[in-house]
Amino acid sequence: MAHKKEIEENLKFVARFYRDDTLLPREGWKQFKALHSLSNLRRNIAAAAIGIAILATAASFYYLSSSADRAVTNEEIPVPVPAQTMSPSQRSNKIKFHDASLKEVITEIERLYGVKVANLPEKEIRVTISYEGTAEDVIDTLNGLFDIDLKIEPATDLSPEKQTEEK
Amino acid sequence: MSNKEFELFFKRYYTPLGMYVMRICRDAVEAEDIVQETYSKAWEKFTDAPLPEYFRSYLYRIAHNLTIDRLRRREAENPDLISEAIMATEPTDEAIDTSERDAALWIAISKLPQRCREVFLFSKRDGLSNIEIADELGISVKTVENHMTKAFKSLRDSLEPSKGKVFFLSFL
Repeated sequence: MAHKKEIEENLKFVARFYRDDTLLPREGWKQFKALHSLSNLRRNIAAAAIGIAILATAASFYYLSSSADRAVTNEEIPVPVPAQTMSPSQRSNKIKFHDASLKEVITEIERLYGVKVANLPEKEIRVTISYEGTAEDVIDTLNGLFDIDLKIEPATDLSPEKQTEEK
Repeated sequence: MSNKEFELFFKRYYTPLGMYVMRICRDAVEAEDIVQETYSKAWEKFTDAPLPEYFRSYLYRIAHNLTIDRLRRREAENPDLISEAIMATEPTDEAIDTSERDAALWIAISKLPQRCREVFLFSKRDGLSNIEIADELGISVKTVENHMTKAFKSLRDSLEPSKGKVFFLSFL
């Protein structure tokens, strides 16, 4: 009798909540497979996208670094000019002054580079500078720093060697 | 664990798990959702490992916990459901046996011919008399009785002897 009551209870419960096409193994498996195939597909697509992103980033870094190297290389390989054909003003020299008058600086530039600099301003200017470059570079820098308009007079070779020769 | 192995376990325990969950949540569609989630968790855990001996217990425990979690989220709406479910802190052997019987009946009902199933559900779910069912479906009372006999026979056959007990179904 106990078993009979138990079964009756089972039957009532199952009948009460029964729904067609629900909680059946075969259909459930199809649903599960479809869901997990889709999950795997999404996962694979996501993994592929991440992989592509990583490769693209690596390629960008490589390209940028090799571009920088080329740029540096370009800058580091100046157009060679044979020393005997290079004028003093085209040579790179280093100047260093601390709180010197502009006049002093110009005098040194003229001596070092063998040039004549014109258009000195009348106002007193104190200069503190450490610079390496050609005469033109130095003059341009001084003009930019002090808002003046120094000019290298053309076709003047007052290099120390020339000056000695003239003497 | 191979896909085939998992599929066998999946199909073996799918409906019983659903019945166990449905006893707590009282909804077949939600029960199915929870069972799917249960198997998803099992799949993630055991996809690269052999299935353990305690796999059945594992499934029931996961299903139980997922059901409780869902009910807790609906606590305000169904406080009674929560108190009943929480009393059973983990799936008992008795509850698992009940779920197996429920599952056998569920599948047997699903396999009934459509009209037979309709008659059966009108009777056992809706509590209609044979006369009322006959009126509802536009068939004779005798036909209703025949359908019910057929349904009970199928359901009886679906319940196998288990653990030395023999289940009998009475006909009314």
